[in-house]
Parts: sequence; C-alpha cells; structure tokens
Amino acid sequence: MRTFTRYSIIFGIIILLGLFTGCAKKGPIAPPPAPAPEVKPTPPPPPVPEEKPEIKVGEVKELPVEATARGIEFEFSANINDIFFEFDKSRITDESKEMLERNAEWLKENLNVKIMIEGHCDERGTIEYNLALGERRALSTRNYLAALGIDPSRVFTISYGEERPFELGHDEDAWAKNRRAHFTIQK
Amino acid sequence: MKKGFLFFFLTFFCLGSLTSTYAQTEVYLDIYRRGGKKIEIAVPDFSPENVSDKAKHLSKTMADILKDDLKVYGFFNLIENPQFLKEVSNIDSKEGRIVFKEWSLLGADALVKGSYSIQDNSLTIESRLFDVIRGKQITGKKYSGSMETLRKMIHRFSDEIVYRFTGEKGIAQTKIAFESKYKGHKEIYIMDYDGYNIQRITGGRSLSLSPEWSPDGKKILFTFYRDNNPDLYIKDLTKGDEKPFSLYPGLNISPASSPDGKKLSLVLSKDGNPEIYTMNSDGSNLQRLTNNRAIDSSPCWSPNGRQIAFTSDRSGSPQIYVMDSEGTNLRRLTYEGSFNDQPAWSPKGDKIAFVSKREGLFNIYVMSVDGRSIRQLTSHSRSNESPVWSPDGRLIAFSSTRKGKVQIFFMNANGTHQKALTFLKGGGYNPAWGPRTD
Repeated sequence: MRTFTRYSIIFGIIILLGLFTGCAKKGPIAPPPAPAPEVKPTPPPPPVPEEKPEIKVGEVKELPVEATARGIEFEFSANINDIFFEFDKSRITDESKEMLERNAEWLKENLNVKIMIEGHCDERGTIEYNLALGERRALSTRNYLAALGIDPSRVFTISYGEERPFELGHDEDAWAKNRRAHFTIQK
Repeated sequence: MKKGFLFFFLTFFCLGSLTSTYAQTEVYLDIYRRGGKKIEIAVPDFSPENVSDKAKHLSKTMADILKDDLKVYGFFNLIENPQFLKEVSNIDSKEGRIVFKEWSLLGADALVKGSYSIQDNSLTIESRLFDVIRGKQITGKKYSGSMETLRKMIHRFSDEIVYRFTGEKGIAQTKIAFESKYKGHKEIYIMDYDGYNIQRITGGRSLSLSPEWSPDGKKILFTFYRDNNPDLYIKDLTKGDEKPFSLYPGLNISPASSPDGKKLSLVLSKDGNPEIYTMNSDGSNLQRLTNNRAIDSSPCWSPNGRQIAFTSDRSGSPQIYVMDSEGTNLRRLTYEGSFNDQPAWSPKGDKIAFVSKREGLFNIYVMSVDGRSIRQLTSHSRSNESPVWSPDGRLIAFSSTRKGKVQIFFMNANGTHQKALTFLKGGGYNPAWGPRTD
C-alpha cells in the first residue's frame, strides 16, 4: 500500500512537471489526457533539419486544402535545382544541403512561387517500395526547406518511385542520376 | 478507351448422362493421394465433326490448350508421343468404342476424348474424361459459345479435370492483372492466367499502377496519377467505368483486399510518412496500423484475415514483418540479406513468398510464416520481383528481366516449370492474380 502511495506521488509530480514545462506559455488551464502525445519539454530550438518530421506533419495537417496539387500545373525552372540521394536513403546529403540553401534563397526572393518536389528512385528495388522511398525523399526535401524558413504550404510533393527515370541506363551512373528530388514551379 | 470488355456469350450444358457421381470423385482423389505419383494422362487431338477443312487445325489447338493447362499443376504427366496417340485414336475410331486396353498399353491412367463442331460462328465442344484402368467415364461436359470462347471452354474443362482428381477446381479460368507501358507510361492490363487475351483496361494520359482485384473479380483497384497525386481509383470491369476511391494527399498505393472482402489494407502518406492503414471496403473507418519514421509498405493479408505481413525499413533496411490486423503484436520475420520485400501470403496460409536481394540479385524466395525454412525459387535469371499466388496456391506469378525487358512469368509454387506469359513491347510488371469466380 505504502509503495503504491509513493508511486502515485512520484507519478503525480512527473505529470505536474510535464504540465508546467510543456504548457508554460499557455498556462495550465486544462490538463491534457494522460499519455500526452506531442508534449515538448522545451520550445524547439532553431530547426535542426530532417530530425523533426512529426512537427512538420502537424503543419501539413493544418493545410489540407493545399496538401495536394490537384488542378495545378507545374513547369521546369532553371532557378531551382535538383538534389540527389544515396541508394535506399532519403536523408539530405551535405552536398544537397548547399543546393537546398540556394533554392531556399531564391524561393524567399520569389514569395509568390509555389513549387512541386518530385521524389524519384533508381530502378533497383521493388515498384511499391520505391514509391514509398520516393515519397520520403520528396518529404524530407520539403522538411529541409521548411527548416530553412520556406512555408510548407508553398511546397507540394509527389512520388514517382522508379516510374520516370531521367537516365535509362542500368549502371551506377544512371542510377545515381535517377535518385533525385526534382523541382518544378507553378505555371 | 471505348472498346470495353470482351463479353463471353457462353452457354454451358452439363448433360445429366455425362456427369459422374460424387462417389467417384472421392475415388480419384484417393488415387492421386495414395502414391503421390503423377497421373499419366493422354490427350489426343480433338475430333472434328461436321467441320470445314479450314477449321480442322483446331483439333490440335484444343488438345494443346488442355495439355498446357494440365502441365502447370505438376501432378499430371502428359503422354506426349503424337504418333502413338494417333494410332490408338485410330483403333478407337475403327472399333467405334474406346479400346481402354490399348490406352493402358501406352501407359495412360486417364484419357481425355474431345470432339467439336462449328455452325456459323457457334462452336460446340464435347469433352469426356475416362479412367483407363477401370475403363469408365469419370466426367463429361458439353459447352457451346462463340468461336472467341474456345480457350475459355477448354480452360473450363481442365478446371473440371483438376476438380475430379484433387477435389479442388483448377485455376485455368482465372485472370491476371498487371502493368505494362503504353505510350511511355504504365497502364493496367488484364489477361487470362496463361497470357492470352491481353486487354488494356485503363486509358488515362497519366501513370496507372498497382492493380488489385476485388474479391468478386469484377473490379480492379489501382493507383492513378490523373490529378497530380497518386490516388486510388476503382475500375468496374463489367460496366467499364472508373471512379475515385481514395484521394488522400500523398501516396494512395498498394491496396490489398482482405480475404472476406470486407476490408482493405493500403499505404497512405497523408500524415507525412508512408504508413499502413486499413479501411472498410467502402472507404470508411480508416485506421492507421503503423507509426514510425521509417517506410512501411506492401501490406498483404493472411488468408484468415487476422494478420498482415508488410515491408518496413525501420531496422535500417527493408525487412518483412507481421502484425495482427489491428496493428498489434508486431514481429520481424526476415533477418538474412539487406533487402527483403513484397510479402505474399499463400492461400493455404502456411507460406509467405517474398523478394530478396542477395549477392546483388533480386530473386523470389518462400518461407514458412515464422520466417524459417527459407527456399529460393528463382535463380541465375537477373531480376525477379512481385510474387503473387494463384488462388489455389499451386502457382506463383512474378515479373522477371531474364529475357531482357521485364515480363510476367509464372512457376509452380515449388519453383519448377517457370514460363513466360507476356512478350510485350511495353513489358509486364506487378502481376495481381484474380480470384476464381465460378
């Protein structure tokens, strides 16, 4: 019994601590349900790219209307450049980070431009897995741009998996060129 | 595409006097099971009756279709010597009856005798299966329909033969849906299980992928890039129309019908990452089953509907996992190799076929449902992907680049009898095997 009480007290303290730290800004008005899903202990530091997809997900959810590019037409633009990925990976490489910074600068100078990021894969791996991988590449690219201050509602994504290769060869050269996030801008 | 579907105007007669009794079915089942030895079966050319010389070549065509059908199961041995088959057939015609002793001397346990007649565009085929040893008819059927239904009639009789020997109907009347490139992008096609009667069923100006049959075989779900998003559409094969089904932002891919047809599993990325969901077959009651930052893809149901196998790269590389259909009780099945994907649960429930990349090559493997007893089914043949089981679990269809361009193949579930089904300029990808519908 005593142990139980002690645990209850500790548990209560933990919950209270959680409330005070997590809801510091709003003040503890109504306690959230027990396993608080996204309670952050401290306000997020200046965005560390690609490590915070859950946060970005929230932002996308708030913009359901603009979440897909239905009815919008896109075209190639020389002002915004593609980035490339390692085999079976969707993380942004150092090389790509530089390119995305340049892309972000241009997007900041052209605030009315909306873009589409297409995720592409090489032909290795299965069709369906590559659709998922292409989606992750497009999403991680958008997340990185968001971290650089680009409003995600300007950025649409679509995965083409291995369906639209840029190079038709079957060697590492061609594969490397096909593992990319391809940018187009709204017409 | 306005062509619509080829409708089969088939009428099927099943003459009372031609059919055998249920008791006999049991007997033949026993014969097959007892020795485990193959059934020696003779299929001489069908005999033309009141048929013009121009249509006499169909005698051999019909026998060949039937022989190809029977070969795929692996428990028939076709007696292939055409000279002997002809001689004994001649003896039969001379005697005006089947001389079983002569067929027996050829080594036949069973014999198929078929005949056909043609009037205008109407074809009638009568076919009988005999037990050579007992000198008795096992079953007989008479079919009539337009000339275009010739293959379907023979397939139907082969399903009947398989039923008589195994107690389960064959799969010769089933269809396979797949992707093939048309004008530079993929469209959905369907064909007979043996690669004949190929028809394109989608005609969009954009990519169509991932076909999946409805459990009644009348509709096909597929991913369609019509509107700048990979959405799920449903194509009604009888009416020919297509309707949007699932339009969540991001991926709407890899639909898989539950065995009872009440639910659907699929991959959506609407929440920011590819995850596995289930929904009712009308699209309601969406439930998310996976929740992590990795890729979760290619869900497939166990035949009892209680579990879902899928691919995930949460360990750092794509591997196959199983969970209960509510998303609980997760287990990892594959540990060997850095790429295991596309699980396909066998209809009998005891095995899972999958794709594994080993030594740089993608091949089809099969394992027991606990992840053990792994067997390689394809080898020395470049890339092999997308395994799917026939509804009876005896065959596996897949795609292969062994002949250059990727095409659809099938094989016996033990890896034998590998055979190309498509030879298309646009290739063949991602087969989906339709259900038995009658």
